[in-house]
Order: sequence, then C-alpha cells, then structure tokens
Amino acid sequence: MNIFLLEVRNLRRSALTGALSISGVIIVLLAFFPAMQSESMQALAGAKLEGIDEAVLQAVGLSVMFDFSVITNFFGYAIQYVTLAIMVLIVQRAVALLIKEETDGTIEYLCAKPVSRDDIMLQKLLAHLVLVVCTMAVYAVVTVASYLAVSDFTFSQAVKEVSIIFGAMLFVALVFSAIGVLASTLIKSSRGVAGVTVGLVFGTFVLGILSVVIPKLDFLLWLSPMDWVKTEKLMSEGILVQEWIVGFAVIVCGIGAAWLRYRKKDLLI
Amino acid sequence: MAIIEIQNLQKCYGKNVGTRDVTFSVEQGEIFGFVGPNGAGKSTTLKVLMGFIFAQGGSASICGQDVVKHTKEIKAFTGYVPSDVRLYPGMRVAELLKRNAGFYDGNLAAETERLCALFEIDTSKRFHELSTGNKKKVSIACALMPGPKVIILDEPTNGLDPVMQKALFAELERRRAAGATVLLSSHNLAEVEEYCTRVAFIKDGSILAVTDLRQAAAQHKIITLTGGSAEVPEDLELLREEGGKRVFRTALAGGEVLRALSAMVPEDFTVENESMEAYFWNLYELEDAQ
Repeated sequence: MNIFLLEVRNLRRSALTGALSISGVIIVLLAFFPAMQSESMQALAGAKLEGIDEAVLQAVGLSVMFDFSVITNFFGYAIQYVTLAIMVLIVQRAVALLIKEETDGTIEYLCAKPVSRDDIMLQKLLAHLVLVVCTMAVYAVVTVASYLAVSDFTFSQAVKEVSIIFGAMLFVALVFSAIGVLASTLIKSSRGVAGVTVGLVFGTFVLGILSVVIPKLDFLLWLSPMDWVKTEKLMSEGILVQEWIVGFAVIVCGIGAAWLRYRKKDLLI
Repeated sequence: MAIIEIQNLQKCYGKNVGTRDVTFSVEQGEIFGFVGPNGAGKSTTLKVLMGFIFAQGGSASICGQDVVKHTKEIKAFTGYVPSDVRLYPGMRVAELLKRNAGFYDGNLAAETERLCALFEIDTSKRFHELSTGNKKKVSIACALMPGPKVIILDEPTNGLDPVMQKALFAELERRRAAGATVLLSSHNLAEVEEYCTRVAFIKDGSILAVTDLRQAAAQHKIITLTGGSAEVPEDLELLREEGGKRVFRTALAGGEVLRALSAMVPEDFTVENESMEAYFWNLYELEDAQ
C-alpha cells in the first residue's frame, strides 16, 4: 500500500483544489436558479431558444420546450459544461498517472524498491479511482445541499436525482480514465498531458455534436461519453445498454492494454 | 561465488547502441569498479540490472535470479543509488526516509538514524531545498537503510564533499567486510583505484577489459629520469619528454629495472607503479589505435 499512499499524498492537493473550484461553480450556478423561475426570465429564454435551429439546440442539450424553471432542466443544462471541466481534471490526472514519474525521474527511485511494475500500476490505479470517487462524492454532496437550498425538492428527491447524474458521470469518468491511463503509457513526456487531455475530452464532445447535427454521423454518439450523461436523457432513459457495453469494453481494453504496455516498456529515465 | 552476472548484454535505443556486448561478473564481498567515458554504456547496464529497461540480447542475474523475471525479489536485497537523484520535491526528508522504510520489512528506524548521523542529513528540510550533495546523501541513506547484500552505485560521489566521500567509502568497506557486494560505476579513477579490487572498462558499449587492479599495478611501472645516456634499453617504452625529464613505461620487474637504470646512469630517477589513470589511457588509446 506504500505506493497507493504515496500517490494519494502527491495528488491530494491538486485534487482538493479542483474539487473546491468545481464545487464553487456548482454552488454559484444553482444560486442563479431562483432567478430563472421568474416569468420574465422564462419568456426571455423561450424567445431566444425559438430562433435557434432544433438540431443545434439538441447538440447543446436543449429543446424548444425547455423549461428553465424546473431545477432538473436548469441544472442539467448547466452541468454539461461543468462536466467538461470535471472530465478535464480527471483525465489530466489519468494521463499523468504513469508518465509524470518518468518525466520527473522519481520512477527511478520507486522502481528500485521491492515492487513490481504490476504493483506500481495497480496501486496508482487504485489511488486514481479513490480520488475520482471522493471528488464525485464531494460534488454530489454540494449539489444535494444546493438543491435543498434553492428548490422545493425533498432530501430523498434531491439525493435520487443527484445520484443519477453523478453516478453516470462517475461511469463516464472511468471510461475517460481508462483511455487516459493507456495514453500515459504511450506518450514520451508529461509535457504532452495537457494536449492529450484536451484532445480526448473536447474531441469526443465535438464528435457528439457532429452526431446530432449531421444525421449520417449519428453512430458517432457511441464514441461521445459526454452525450451519455446529458441530464434530459439520463432522467428519461438512464445509461443505455449499448453505452454500458461500449463503456465497459473501453475500460477493460484500455486498462488491459495499458497494463501490458507498462509491463514491457523501457522506462524513460 | 558470482553475485552479479552479466552475459553478452545487448541494448539498442532505436539506431543508437546502448550496449553491444557486455560480459562481466562480480564476486561476493568485492567492490567492483565499472569505468568508461560518457555514453559508453555504464548507465544502460545498470538500468538493465535494476529492471528499468529491458535488454534485447544476453542475460543478467543477481544472486542467481534473472533480473527480468525476479526483479521484485532482487530489489528486496539490492540497494541502488542513481547518478542523478530525483525524489519527490515537496516532501520533507524525514517523511521520504520514513516512506522508504515502508517498502521493507522490519523496523529500520535505528539504522535510518545512524545513516542520517553518519552523512549529516538534515531531515527537517524539503527535498527540493537540498543541494546536489545533500540530495545524494538522502539517496545513499535510502539505498543503504535496509542493509542490502548487493549495492549498486552510479556515480555516488558526484556532488559529495571529500569528508562525505570518505564516510561513504568507509561505510561501503564496512558492509563489504560483512559480506555485501558492491558494483561502483564511476568516472573518478582515483576512487576506483583506491577502493575497488577489480574493474571492468567499457567503451562504445563493449567491455575492453576486466582487470584485477592489484595485478595490473604490479604489471607496469612508470620510470621518470633526469639526465642519463641517450641509449635506451629495449624494455623501456618512452612515453614523453618534458623539461629535461624522460618518462618511460616498462613491464620489467624490480631487479631488472635497477639494472636498466644503472646502464643509463641517470642524475636522478623515480619509479612508481602505473596509476589507474595511466592504465585507463593506455587501454583506451590502444583500442582507438585498433
């Protein structure tokens, strides 16, 4: 467990900073909700949305009939951009998980200890998983508290809805993490982490938009995990069976390939 | 008994050769030197031994265990000091040492304390606040803390002051006497000459020679003459002439040296065993000539 503890220790500060920032954004966003309930705001939003093409609205997770006076709709729309930020933070940690120690040179110390590559990989993955689950739990708690403060939801209603949103988000975070960890075994330096992260998160997000805007490319939706967690869809259909299958396949293949690669690779020191 | 055995080790980095053909063995209880210029393949060999990289050909083992298949077991009894020490920068030295001890069985607190006192390590500082030499001392303490029976050091005295260098070699010698085996990669020929029993010389990824220093020292003598006849006996090889002095190299034994000198009738002379440095240069120049 030494590597696990070391990893948690090394990541705790950045994870805490990220969690506090995102929590702050969630609180601020939900603080706007009471204002959205006024009739004038609803009329304004409705008028603005009417002029926009339906495919475009769909692409950004909206519909003409969208009612921002319902907290589920309001938070569901706002959270998709927060989700992007959450995924960027998580994927960044996943991509850096193995390569950072090589770039920093600390892997030479770690690998000289009585541990195998499997131990390093397993304990680092575990540390990453724990931090992902903990930060998601923090966001969920903050969101439930904010729901109770700004809406007439009961505690159980708030917990149920927030659990669905952040449970699905956790699944997508694990999918992205698996690809990120694989990338961590492939890139040559931690200087490539930011590029890979942005490419992965925003790239798949754009694929999702293309799949909605261009009907011929609708199959791309399966490659866009960000679309799996759109609140409107989550509340009506949840995560689809196909999404579970694709997601688990990516997790298993991504981690498996990363494992094989890390066992055999020459450490870059 | 050979503790470290390396056979025909080959490692390439793309088109660049790391090691072409490295073969040597290190016996139990010896301090073995590993000498060569930059890029000769020393660090590559050590990285293969430590399982950081994988060789494309040949084999390497420590205590009879293959370095690829049994890397975890090997590291339980092997201490390693890298040439460039990079540890977690924000961590305090005390925490680093504590976490390092956590990788091994048993209570290492007393030994850690002894090593910190021996190397005068300030445990209250963060790692990034330390000088190069102090970082090296922390790395040495981390490697020696569990009492390894095999110690592999890559340029261990880089950045260490002379007092600490002496302390390090005294500690290594103490451990060697207790049965530990030491593989010392170094550029510092003086320290290799002083502390090692045998040395492997490497160049361009291949071992040029594995030399027993006690025998090598006895093999050649360096004679410096002032004055004397211009006629030089066949067995004396003129190395250079400077400021009225002539420097010869010879394989003659003591009595024969005296006879050769008496034939030349010098005004003054000195005779000394060939130094490690001179031996090194002769070996490398010979290789270049070939």
